[in-house]
Amino acid sequence: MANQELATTNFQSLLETVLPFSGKVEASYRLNGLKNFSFPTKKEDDWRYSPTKSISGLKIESFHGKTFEDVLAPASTRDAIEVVFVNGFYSEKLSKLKGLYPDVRISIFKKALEENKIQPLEEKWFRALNQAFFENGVYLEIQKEVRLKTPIVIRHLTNTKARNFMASPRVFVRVLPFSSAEIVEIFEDGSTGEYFVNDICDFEVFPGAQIHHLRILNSSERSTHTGHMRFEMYRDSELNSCVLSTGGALSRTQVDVVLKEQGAQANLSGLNLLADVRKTENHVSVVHAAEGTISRQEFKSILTGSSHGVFQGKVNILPVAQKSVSEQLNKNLILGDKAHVDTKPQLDVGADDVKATHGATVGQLDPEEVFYLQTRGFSPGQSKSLICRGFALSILDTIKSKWICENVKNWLEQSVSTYTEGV
Amino acid sequence: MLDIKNIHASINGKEVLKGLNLTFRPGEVHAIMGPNGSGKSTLAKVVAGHPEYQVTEGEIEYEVNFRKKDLKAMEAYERAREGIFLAFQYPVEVPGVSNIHLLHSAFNMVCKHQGVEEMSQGEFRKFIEKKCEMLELKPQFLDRSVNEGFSGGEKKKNEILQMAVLNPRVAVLDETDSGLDIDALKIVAGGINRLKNQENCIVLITHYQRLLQYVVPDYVHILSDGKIIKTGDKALALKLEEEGYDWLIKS
Repeated sequence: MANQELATTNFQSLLETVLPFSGKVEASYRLNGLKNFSFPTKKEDDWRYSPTKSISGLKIESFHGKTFEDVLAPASTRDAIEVVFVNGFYSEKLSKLKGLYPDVRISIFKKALEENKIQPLEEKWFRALNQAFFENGVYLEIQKEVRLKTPIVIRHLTNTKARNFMASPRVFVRVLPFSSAEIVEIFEDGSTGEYFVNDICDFEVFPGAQIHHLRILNSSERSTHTGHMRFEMYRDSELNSCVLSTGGALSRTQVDVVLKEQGAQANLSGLNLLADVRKTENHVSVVHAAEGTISRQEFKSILTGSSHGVFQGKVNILPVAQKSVSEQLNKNLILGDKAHVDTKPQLDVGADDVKATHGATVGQLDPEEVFYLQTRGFSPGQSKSLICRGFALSILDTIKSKWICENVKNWLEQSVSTYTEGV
Repeated sequence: MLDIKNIHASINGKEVLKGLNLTFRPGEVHAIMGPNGSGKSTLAKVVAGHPEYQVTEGEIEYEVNFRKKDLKAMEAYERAREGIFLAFQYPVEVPGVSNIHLLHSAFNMVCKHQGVEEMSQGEFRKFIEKKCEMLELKPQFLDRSVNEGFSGGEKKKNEILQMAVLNPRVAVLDETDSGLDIDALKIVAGGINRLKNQENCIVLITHYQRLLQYVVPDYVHILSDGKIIKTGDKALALKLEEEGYDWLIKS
């Protein structure tokens, strides 16, 4: 208990003491919103393997980077709508919204909140932290029966000079009935200094709608990121979501899916390429709350050096969710002597007529596989790279959107090549 | 071209090959038969250079273009680039790596090593699709992950496809006939016959005689307890099929 209080106090006092932008009064006001929540400790299931102390010990001097001047020009993606955030602030100026209207409505999240279009959900400390500190945010609404031809890229940038700041980007996407959209979130940094991103991106997918989603976390090794996504899925809606991460000081992603109505489906996948001392965590929670709902999970990691990966996947099939299907798989390839993985698939089944499987593998390279490739002329190094490449690139099979797959392929191939060079 | 002299080899401290002698010359087809546990697969792995098998005694001399090389001193991939090929009894799955990527990379690596011009992706695709026809494999087969989800027959055909691409000087085919139905066996045998020429040597390791009806060996060797105990021609294989191994081992 003492530890918990200490952690909370440390974090809050840090926030309170140095707030050059908004001032102490506003900071205290914002922090009031956090009072009902307690800072997580290792006693909590979700945080058992997490370095809570390294988060509470972060040096945070402002709510955001001080200047926006030296932001790297956003690398824009061809044929895509771009929604750009800088240090957690939505920047309309840097965004490329052509092609958005009339199929998509965009507004400031704060405004949508004031207009009661959204009910914020803060059940946890870090979500509450974002709620207290986000500045503007974005609310996107894909209109009814729209097959959105132009994909939406949400780009989160940090400027190169900013240090020791906390960014709180906030996005809400509502997909109205029978529409479909492709949404890619990219977190990249210009800053190589320490900073903290605590983002929320929530989705509400209405009946018969379909969403293809990809999140790329390509941050520096000194960055700390806690990300939260929540998908509420209504009747016969479909979600395909993939998270690719190269880790950071900590890169923690929480994905909560609620399959609220009959026939809703979620296909979740993820790949982590971890080197040195980087750390990534995938926390997934899927609740089957209606009959005939389907969820599939496939999360993979390759670890070199002293890197650390965590997978915690919870599937909860409620008594009403008869005839549901749930599959969960976590595969880890450990290449570093000091690298390690904590994996904890969890299945809680309340209904009796369901199909549910789960499993996890943690292993090193299979020597027979290496030998097989050697007999085809590949040197030991080449064989290992090829196996890693295969292990990593097979994640593309889980991405059903052709556009996303084609656009991410080059980046992924390049990342995998760079990554496997040192293997 | 490959001279195996008095080879002793062990795995995990257990001696499996106990003074084995064999000589393979260009243009020849050899069959190596023998009961389970006699050392057939060990021989294949020793020739290919499996790191877990230790050669404790004897020589393996490999002659290419009148130059003699000590095969024991070479790693598995060096042997492959020099023209030693092993078709696996149980081909290994390589998830996420497409068959054509593996074949193309391997082909170019061997070309580069042997000083032959490499092929572009487009050229290679045309080249390999012809080879696929020979084995009655559809072109889509090339885009699937190596051996993943392949049927038993497809796996074995894929080994022969790899052999066709690597164009080896010595090809050791370890129980390539096992698990094949008669149609697939005929196709695989047809492939081997097409790849056979005056420059290479084919070594068929098999438990049964049936493959030898389609790929006719010049020599049949019987391996028992780590040694060659008898060498003959194709008639020996037939006799084995009828009478089993007992008469040989007891005598």
